[in-house]
Amino acid sequence: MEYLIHLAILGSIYTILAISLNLVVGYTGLLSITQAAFYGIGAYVTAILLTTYDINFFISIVLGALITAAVSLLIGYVLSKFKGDYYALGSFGFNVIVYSIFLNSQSLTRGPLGIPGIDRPNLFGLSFSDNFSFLILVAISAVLIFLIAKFISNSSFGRVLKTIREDEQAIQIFGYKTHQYKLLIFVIGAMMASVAGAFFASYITFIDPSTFTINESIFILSIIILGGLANLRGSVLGAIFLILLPEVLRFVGFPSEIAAQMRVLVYGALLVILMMYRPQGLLGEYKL
Amino acid sequence: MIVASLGVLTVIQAIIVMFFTSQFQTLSTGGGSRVFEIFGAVITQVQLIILISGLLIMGILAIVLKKTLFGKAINAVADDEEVSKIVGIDTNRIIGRVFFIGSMIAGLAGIFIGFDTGIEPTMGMSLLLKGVIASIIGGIGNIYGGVLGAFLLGFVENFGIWKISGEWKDAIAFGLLIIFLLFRPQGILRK
Repeated sequence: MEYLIHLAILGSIYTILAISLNLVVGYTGLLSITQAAFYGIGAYVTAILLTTYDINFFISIVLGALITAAVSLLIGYVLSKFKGDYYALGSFGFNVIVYSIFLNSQSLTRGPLGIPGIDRPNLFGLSFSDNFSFLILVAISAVLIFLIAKFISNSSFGRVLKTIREDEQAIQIFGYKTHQYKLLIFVIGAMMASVAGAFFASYITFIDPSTFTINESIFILSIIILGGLANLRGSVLGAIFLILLPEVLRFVGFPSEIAAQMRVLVYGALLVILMMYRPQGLLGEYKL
Repeated sequence: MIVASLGVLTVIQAIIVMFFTSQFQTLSTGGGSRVFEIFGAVITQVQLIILISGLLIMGILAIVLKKTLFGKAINAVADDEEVSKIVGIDTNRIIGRVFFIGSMIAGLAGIFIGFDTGIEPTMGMSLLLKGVIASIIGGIGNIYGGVLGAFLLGFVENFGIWKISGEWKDAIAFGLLIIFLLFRPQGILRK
């Protein structure tokens, strides 16, 4: 039972990440491979605020999201100058730079040693220290994020985003300042990812830079490509599928070194196969 | 394309780890490697061979691209795939062959690195990115540009870690890429 709760918590965290990236990649058509950077910033800000300054978890989530928003505004502004494959490469670059900062600013992040002993959240004396209550908290947040994303995608703002994806010049002619829209959705996606990071830090109670590499960004990207771009239910489905998949492989009974690689192999192969035979994913409406 | 190739990269990397473990391995040259001195700087025999082969490959590629029919076909496909199809170039075959040659040169570089510093399964990603950065800052579609970009990247990285610590190498490389993409997206040498 404890094991199932663990999987459900991880599934919810990755659902939040997938939804956040889907808004950027799926709805707006910006192939961003830097989501793990924002995930990491959220996690680190929460971890530092909780361990060093002893600030309440819910306040540090908000502060983490604000700091991530500031950073993503800067990154998004630079990225907005790029198009197509260069956009993907540039975003790649920012992920590497942010990872280097986690790894090397020893005084702030303790570098490769990581930050241990992060507290579980508590609110007005109500503690979420056992896994079940934590699951409820994460699940509620995931649902909230889902509803926010749903609201965004159905609003007139969301329709503009989809038009940018389909034909940016056409909507520019109608007088929409498309770079503002792209920047705004990039920042919103980054803030959502930072919320996921805060939950991750507080759940595992330990973080180190190795969680927030490019591989993590590619993993999140494969979730939304598998589930379907520009489809929120697809993101949820993809997250659940790719979280459960390695667990199934674990029961097949490979030795641990091989099992860990099997997981990487399977999602890499999935990406290739999907690109060849079903580029829109399971439920998607948009092909990359 | 870019997503599928990332998928291929992760698959091959995982397979390498499964067969050869994730340990760091070195190829030995057999016997002590000789060391040369040029203007007071030290260079090993292996590094000298790498330098010479790099220049040699640049020369051969430049000649093939300029003088042969195959090279002209490559330039045509790069310029406009549709039109080259119309004039009777088998574009898929050209693309396949270019991919093959490119992979072969990359494989050669891998062997050299094995002799020089050693290999590990996860090194591919950072080397790939360095290669991409070098070709973008040098100028896409220009052999000399690629070499120039690679040298510039190497110098900036290593002079950079002279001033700040060595772990920032990757960040410096990507910083350089982003500066170039912003201010000179066509690279040093324009095609």
